[in-house]
Amino acid sequence: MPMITKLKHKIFLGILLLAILLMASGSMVLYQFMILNHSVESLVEDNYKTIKACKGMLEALEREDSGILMLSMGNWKEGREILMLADSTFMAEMTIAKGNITEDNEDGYVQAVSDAYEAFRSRWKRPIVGTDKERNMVWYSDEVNPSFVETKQAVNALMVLNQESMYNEATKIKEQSYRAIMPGIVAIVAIIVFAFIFNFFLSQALLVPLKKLIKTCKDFKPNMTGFHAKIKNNDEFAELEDGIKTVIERLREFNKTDR
Amino acid sequence: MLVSLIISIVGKETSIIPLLFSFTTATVFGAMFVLFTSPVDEVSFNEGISTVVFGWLFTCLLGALPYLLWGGEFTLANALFESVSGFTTTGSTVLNNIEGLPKGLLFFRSSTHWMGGIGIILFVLLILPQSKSKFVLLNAEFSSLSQTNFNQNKQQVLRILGYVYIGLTVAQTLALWIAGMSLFDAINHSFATIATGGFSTKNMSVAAFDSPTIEIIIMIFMVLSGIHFGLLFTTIVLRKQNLFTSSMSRAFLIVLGVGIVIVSLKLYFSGFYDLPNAFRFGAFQVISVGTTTGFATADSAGWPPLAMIIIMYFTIQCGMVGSTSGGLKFDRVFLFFKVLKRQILQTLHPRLVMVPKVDNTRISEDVISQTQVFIVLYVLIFFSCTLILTAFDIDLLTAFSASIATLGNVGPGFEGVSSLGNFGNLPDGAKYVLSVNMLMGRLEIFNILALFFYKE
Repeated sequence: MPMITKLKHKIFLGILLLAILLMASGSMVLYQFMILNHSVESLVEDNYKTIKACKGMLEALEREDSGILMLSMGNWKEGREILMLADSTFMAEMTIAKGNITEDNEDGYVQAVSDAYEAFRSRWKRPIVGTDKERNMVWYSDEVNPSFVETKQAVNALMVLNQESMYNEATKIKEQSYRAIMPGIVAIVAIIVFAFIFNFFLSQALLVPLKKLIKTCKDFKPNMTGFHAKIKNNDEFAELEDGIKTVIERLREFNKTDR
Repeated sequence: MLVSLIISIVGKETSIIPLLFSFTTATVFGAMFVLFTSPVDEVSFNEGISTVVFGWLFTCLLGALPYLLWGGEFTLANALFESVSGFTTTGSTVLNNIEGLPKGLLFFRSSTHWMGGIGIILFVLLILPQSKSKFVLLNAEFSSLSQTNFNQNKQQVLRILGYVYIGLTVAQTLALWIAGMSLFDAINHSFATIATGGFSTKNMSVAAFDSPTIEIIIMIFMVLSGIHFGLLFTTIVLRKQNLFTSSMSRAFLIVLGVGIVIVSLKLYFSGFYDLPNAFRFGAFQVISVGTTTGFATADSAGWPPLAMIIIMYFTIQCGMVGSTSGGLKFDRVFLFFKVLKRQILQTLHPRLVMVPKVDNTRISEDVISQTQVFIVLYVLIFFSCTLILTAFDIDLLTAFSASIATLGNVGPGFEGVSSLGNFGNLPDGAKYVLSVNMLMGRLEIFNILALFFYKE
């Protein structure tokens, strides 16, 4: 590797190194935060959406159950209204869940919900009012309720799958946030240390030869044979020393010729 | 670090960014020192000491970066401890789940052993062009006692160290690979054996492989790594059989053998194992601790007290000078007993003039005095460290064994830091203290103290 002697090159390369360190640190921190951002997005979009849909489905199921009970009590108008509305809500939430399959085997869980709901739906098919199903609690407890419970369990299973995934993702986010913050801290410390060391070297490269030159200038007497500041490095300060020597020689020559 | 980075990239691991940033930082800092420091022909001894000590400190700090950035079990204290343990070839770990680390980081961990085993400065000196300053640095890192048995000039000494070190590493890697280890595990375990470090890629250390063949190979190379490299070189390359003619190496091997027999028989008669297994586990443990490697095939924490005391003795004595072993060094203990013998004889016969000799070579009073002072300092530092550790409410046996294991760069201790345990449960303050202890041991104490007591 060729020796770099000039100060301007050393300073330039030192700043370049600092810039490299800053870029590396910045890139690393940005990258880690991007990963963190992605995880948070995934948490909200993938898992939370499905959990919300499952909660909607459970609520709809409860209202459907109330509707069926009302129908079986003979209150067909109100009962049918509640049942239709709840069915519509359930199907809407079901569509959201079907369109948000993100986990392994989640499609199986969604299919289980769909199958269980179809079975439950078939139980409360018209007519109920005016048939032997009206005011028939045996029919409700033996046919409707088990189907209702099965559907609820299928929805709960889908919800738990997404909740577990959400928990795992949240744990990952916790680790990723550490991975995003710690590089930042390390980078800041590294840059500060670099800056201090660079400053030290720079002051050594600038101040030490400068002080030598000042001292030699102050101590210089006309009867001295030469100007020797003992500048070690072959840099701009060595050039300055040579320049001062040249000035002194020219002044001496001028003094001689002038006499 | 670059090789570890490449391994991480190939495996698409989570350690890519930490290793890449650490590599960039190390390169930037290294380039800065190269840019701003002019080459010098002569370096004073004090400058050499400072270079060695601060070089080690800086290396350990930089070495902690990949761990710290990766996270997991690595807090600041843990990362620093693991880095210092790696470079000083102690082999004590803070990790509960070593196998959970990505391969790139595992390789980096083992490579810190390999670089630290021969010495950070020597590692650099091997690749630097020749200059007078080289030998000042060589003297600063490689003690004068270690340079006995090297009958070559200093440039050749450097080359010998390199040849033996690399040669043993390659030989063991091949042997382990043939014995059934994966190439990755073989390389990592070879790094840890030849450097007498002890970082394994498995949670259960060498016990995880459950292979007598692998254990025998590792035992052979641990013994070789615990012997003076100059003796190995002259025996294997120059065919002068110095290994078997040197009274020091003969005594070392005999003491090791006696230790193995006592421990193994005690294990057998105490009903721990049948006879073959008693020798299998007893021998491995004695050699591992006696050479300061620190691998384990069994948890010695529950062994009979006699076996534990013998192992504790080897934790103090350790391997020979001129090897990669840490500790007090066998040669110093050998010399101590020679001087003790002289002292006793002189007490009985006051007019007796006796000069301690090793293989007909007279040992100078300087070396004797240095050895005695070293032993006293060693004991003082070890007791001080034990005292400081007990202030952290650590039980006495754990504090005592952790102290001696880290100062001697051995690795495992007893009780809370046993051979199949780890140092992770210790308080952070204790880890910092033990890190300093490890550095003191690796730099053979005098270098660090010389820095504090240096005067123009």
